[in-house]
Amino acid sequence: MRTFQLKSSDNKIFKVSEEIAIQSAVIKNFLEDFGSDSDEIVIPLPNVRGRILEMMIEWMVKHVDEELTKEEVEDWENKFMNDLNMEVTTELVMAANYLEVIGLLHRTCQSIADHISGKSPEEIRRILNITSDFTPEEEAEIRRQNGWVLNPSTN
Amino acid sequence: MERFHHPQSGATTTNNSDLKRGKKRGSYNCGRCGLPKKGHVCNLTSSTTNTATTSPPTTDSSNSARCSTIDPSSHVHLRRALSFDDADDLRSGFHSDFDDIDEAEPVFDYPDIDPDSSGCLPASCLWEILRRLPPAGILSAARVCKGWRETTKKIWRAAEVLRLRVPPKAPFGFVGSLLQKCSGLVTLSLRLESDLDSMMLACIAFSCPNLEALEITKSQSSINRITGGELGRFVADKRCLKSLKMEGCSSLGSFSLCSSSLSTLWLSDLCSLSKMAFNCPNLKEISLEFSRHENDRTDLVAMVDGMVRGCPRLQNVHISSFRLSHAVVLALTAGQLRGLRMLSLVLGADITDASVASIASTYPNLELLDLSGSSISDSGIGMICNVFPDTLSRFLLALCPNITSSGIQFATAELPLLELMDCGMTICDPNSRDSTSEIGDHELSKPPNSKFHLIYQKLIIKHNHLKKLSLWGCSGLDALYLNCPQLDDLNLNSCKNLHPERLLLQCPSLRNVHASDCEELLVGAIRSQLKKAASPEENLLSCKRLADGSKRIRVPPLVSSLSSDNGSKRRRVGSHHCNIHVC
Repeated sequence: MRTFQLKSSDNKIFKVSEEIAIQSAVIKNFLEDFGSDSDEIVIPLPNVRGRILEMMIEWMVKHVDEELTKEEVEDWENKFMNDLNMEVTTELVMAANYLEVIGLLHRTCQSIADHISGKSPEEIRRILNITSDFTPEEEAEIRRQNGWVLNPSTN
Repeated sequence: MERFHHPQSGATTTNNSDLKRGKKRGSYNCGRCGLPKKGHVCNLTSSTTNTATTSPPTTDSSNSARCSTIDPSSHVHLRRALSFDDADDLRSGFHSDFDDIDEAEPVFDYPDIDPDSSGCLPASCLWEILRRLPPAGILSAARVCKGWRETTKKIWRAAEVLRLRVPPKAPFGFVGSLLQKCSGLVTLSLRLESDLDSMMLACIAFSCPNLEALEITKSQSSINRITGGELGRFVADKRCLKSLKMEGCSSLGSFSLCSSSLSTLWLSDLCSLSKMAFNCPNLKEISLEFSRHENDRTDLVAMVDGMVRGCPRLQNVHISSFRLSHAVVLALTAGQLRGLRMLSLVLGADITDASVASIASTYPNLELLDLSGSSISDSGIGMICNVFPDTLSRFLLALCPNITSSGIQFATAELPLLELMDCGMTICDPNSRDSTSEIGDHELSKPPNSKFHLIYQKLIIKHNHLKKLSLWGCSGLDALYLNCPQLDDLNLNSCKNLHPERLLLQCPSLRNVHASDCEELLVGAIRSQLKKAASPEENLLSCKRLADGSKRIRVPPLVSSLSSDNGSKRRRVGSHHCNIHVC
């Protein structure tokens, strides 16, 4: 099994085996295109910082471990997700999207969806640190269209 | 009681461990515990209601999404009404094509997205997140910022399946404003807690040009005001409509349905229809449940006559009404529906063995026959067994007071393809008949000491294909021997007089046993037998327990020596778990 190196945006190097890394469709394609014999391939990942990459690798390692049962992996996933704050989750979504690690992408997106489900727009903005770019007029217009749906207090 | 087996109901019924829960509408037994509904107050505070109310607090209660397959274990599904990918989550066979959406995604242009305003999330990630939200969540997300609003618009447009619960005090235009966003909708399922009127129907017709399936269920308190004329116009205008299911059709009055696309039609709570005309050449399945009020005045003979003329391709027919009679059956059989595969005529106390004879002589290929609530007797079962040995796989005879255990045994012996059999409330305890039966008072006028009724009956079934067997409410049953290698689900609810020592279950595949309202000793016996079945050194020949020699009963040839492959099957049992449902 080949091993090679992944380099994060802050120049941290992670050694991984091919078996683990090909869970990322992007890396898989990269390796197919550059199928050289050299063991010293360094794949630069300028969009992912070291801490996030480390977490992704942790995820991918767990998901090739054949000794774990499905339940154990699920338990691990739940714990993994619970330990994350929204900021890191968002970063993981983007990294998983960038590297096409589908399982992680779905899990993290679900986590964010769970967090914002049932929340008002104001709360969603606060959770995900988004600033509204609506003009007051637009805001009023949207409120007029479907405001009643989303004000739990008016039920 | 299982309804027609087709993709729609298949998903629900197989998910439901309880055999009885498959039938939601107009069932004459409690949907939760399987006890007869009449005068019955269910003491099971149903887990379904619990989950339905407890899980959506994350969502806004005014608009919480509702999923039709209620599975307490997955509350994620409960909140997800817009389903794009999980096809098994969809009750219907019409599912949105996830691949299409996925492929379409890169084509989307997101000119307005300013990375800062959308929380740095690229549009494709945002799509992934927002598509997991229930409708209320998507509406909320649309107000976060412009980037999010654009993405939600695309999500609405891409939605093909929408399940929506309409709250009791939904403001005027609530459904309309939502549907306007979903121009691509193919399947719409509404759970109405507010009233349904022609405005809403018109709105659905207007907003969803491609609608193929519409399902409207309603809560007890809401009223369906749709008239026959409005329904007729809707069906005629929606040229793609293939499936229409509507509850609470008590205001129809009369109707005339003309559609060349319609293939499935379910109407329930029908009442006193003066005229029903059909012109639906492609209708394959019809289910008409009439209101159970005594004052229903529908002329079923004329209705069925019109139906068989106007819908020549019918395969599945379900009619539930107290007014079903032999004359209705004659009108049906006169129509010569060549393709008929499933026939369900429920609650017709005037359906007799003569009706069975005409059904048997007209439709040789029935796969499902449901004559629950009829007056057929063992000789009717005999006719059925003569005609359908090669086709019949589901046979339902619940609440047929005139059949005995020998009839049931005969059916299982003569119908090798049988997979589902419902004999609920057939073998009733003579002593408690007044409290449990739905049969008229004339039964009570019989001398209470009538010997025939006082004899408890026994049931011996050996069948290689039977998967579901229901004996709910068979309080007149005191001995039961089952040798059914494929049996998966057994309902013994309220088998009050079944003797624990006269029970023998040789059913290695059994997964669910329902034993609510049974003696504790019986439950213990079931438990220990199932445990024993898992161990290989089980005594295979304990049929001696059943020897109480009633001469009326034709004992099918008992497998005197269960072959060794049976033994090995049993050994596998240890790996799967059987649930005993006792409440």
